[in-house]
Amino acid sequence: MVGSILQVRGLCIEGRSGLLVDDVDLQLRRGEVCALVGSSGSGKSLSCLGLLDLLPGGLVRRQGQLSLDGQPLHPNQVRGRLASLILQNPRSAFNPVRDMASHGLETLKLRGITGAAARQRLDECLDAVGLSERQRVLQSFAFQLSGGMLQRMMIALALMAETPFLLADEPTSDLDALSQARFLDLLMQLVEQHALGVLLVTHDMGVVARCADHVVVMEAGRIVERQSVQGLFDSPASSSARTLLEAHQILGRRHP
Amino acid sequence: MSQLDICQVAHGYRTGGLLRRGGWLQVLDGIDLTLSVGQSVGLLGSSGSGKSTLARLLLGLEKPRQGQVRFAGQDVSQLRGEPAREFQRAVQLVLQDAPSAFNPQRSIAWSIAEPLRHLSQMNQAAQHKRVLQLLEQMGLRAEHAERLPHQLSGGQLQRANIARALAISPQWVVLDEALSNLDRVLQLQLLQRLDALRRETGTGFVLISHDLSLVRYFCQRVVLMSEGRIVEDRPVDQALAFEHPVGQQLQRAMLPERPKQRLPAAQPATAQA
Repeated sequence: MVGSILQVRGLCIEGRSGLLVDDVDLQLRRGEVCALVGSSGSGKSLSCLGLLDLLPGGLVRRQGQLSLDGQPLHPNQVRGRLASLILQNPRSAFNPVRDMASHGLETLKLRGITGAAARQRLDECLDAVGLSERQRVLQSFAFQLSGGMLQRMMIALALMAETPFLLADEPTSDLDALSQARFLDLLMQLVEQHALGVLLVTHDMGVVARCADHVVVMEAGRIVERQSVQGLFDSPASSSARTLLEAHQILGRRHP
Repeated sequence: MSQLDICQVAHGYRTGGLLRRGGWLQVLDGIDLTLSVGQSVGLLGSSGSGKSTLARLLLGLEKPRQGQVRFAGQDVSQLRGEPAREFQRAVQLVLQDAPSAFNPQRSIAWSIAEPLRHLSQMNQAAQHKRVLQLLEQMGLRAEHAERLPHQLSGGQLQRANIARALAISPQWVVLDEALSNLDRVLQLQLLQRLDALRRETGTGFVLISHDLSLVRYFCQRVVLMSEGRIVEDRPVDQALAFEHPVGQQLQRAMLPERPKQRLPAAQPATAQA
């Protein structure tokens, strides 16, 4: 039975210049979207990577206990098994000399699915994410597909891995408006139908308004606010949240 | 003040690579557009609609297959010598990817002064003064001048990038998705600064974007592109309601201003993925 609450407590990440992420607690529930917001450099992406212990060189994870329904876990047990990761730039996430089919088959093989069953699962997952030209997509290499298609392929891979949780770091920042809307529709469909639990790192309050149930606000490596999405839009407490909301509202309004 | 006209322009590229000769890909067709000074025009369309190709043609970086881009009535591709330099002074371009737009081994000030060295008669002292003025205009500080590109954040570097485009005081600046990688707060700050500049100096902007909210905030006119053609050209007004389906699609894709009032959350589903 797969657990329903994935949690990290007291996550601390240290770089050469000192603590970059300081005592961060995050909780993901299945079927819910938790948005992690903050301005650039506030440590939101690092927290996301640090959760899975996938930090770039030079950074060290000092502390941070992962647990599933209270049972302590090692990041190795979480990565790719409990949680998949989607990053901003999907192009760099694929092996440039392998086609999409081989990425999918590799993921499925890790789960012990091979042969005809793997082919069938591949097709199902591509259908689920709305990649309709299945044959063409599967034979394509990363450079032959658009950013929006690659990002959907990333989700398809997450589906194949059947992880109950998804960490998405700015997944739509590189997509155009239409691809973004399509991607978020798909994401919410998976949250509702498969009870996917999502950590959505973003700085766009429009994305937050569209998707999130809860919002966590970071500032200079620390969490400064936790709210329900309604609460945040009604009465933001931190200055970071207020600044982000204000810009979002001014740009969202009709011409001045 | 001159005018920039695109007359009956069509353009395309040959597909395929070294080994295989591919077909012809028509990217732009039957484009007519006149840019007036002092106006901000939004060029809106989804990926692959030909926006960036149009920008390259506007700058004279490529010669259109058919038709002409005219600056002050002259075909841009025929300009040589001083008239060509005058055209380069008039139109500047800013691209999305700031890090690749800077020489990694040279200071920010050196890069910003580059158009001044090539296109103006300013002496070094005057160039330096202008660089500092530009940095301030873009909300950067004098201390940023001597830094190397990798010592600036993405947002700071993009502001330096825009500062360089403004250095020669062009009549138009084409911003090709130049704000897309920045967060909302920075986007708004930059648009406010650029709008102030437009009002003061009459610099016109072409904002290439797929983000309707930026266009609506910043531009007086919006040109909608789809499949290499201009399908709608209208003033930005209160309603900004597009007639063309592509425009309506972009409008529908806009993110909500506020979260929807949701039903009290149902019991978290335990169904397996």
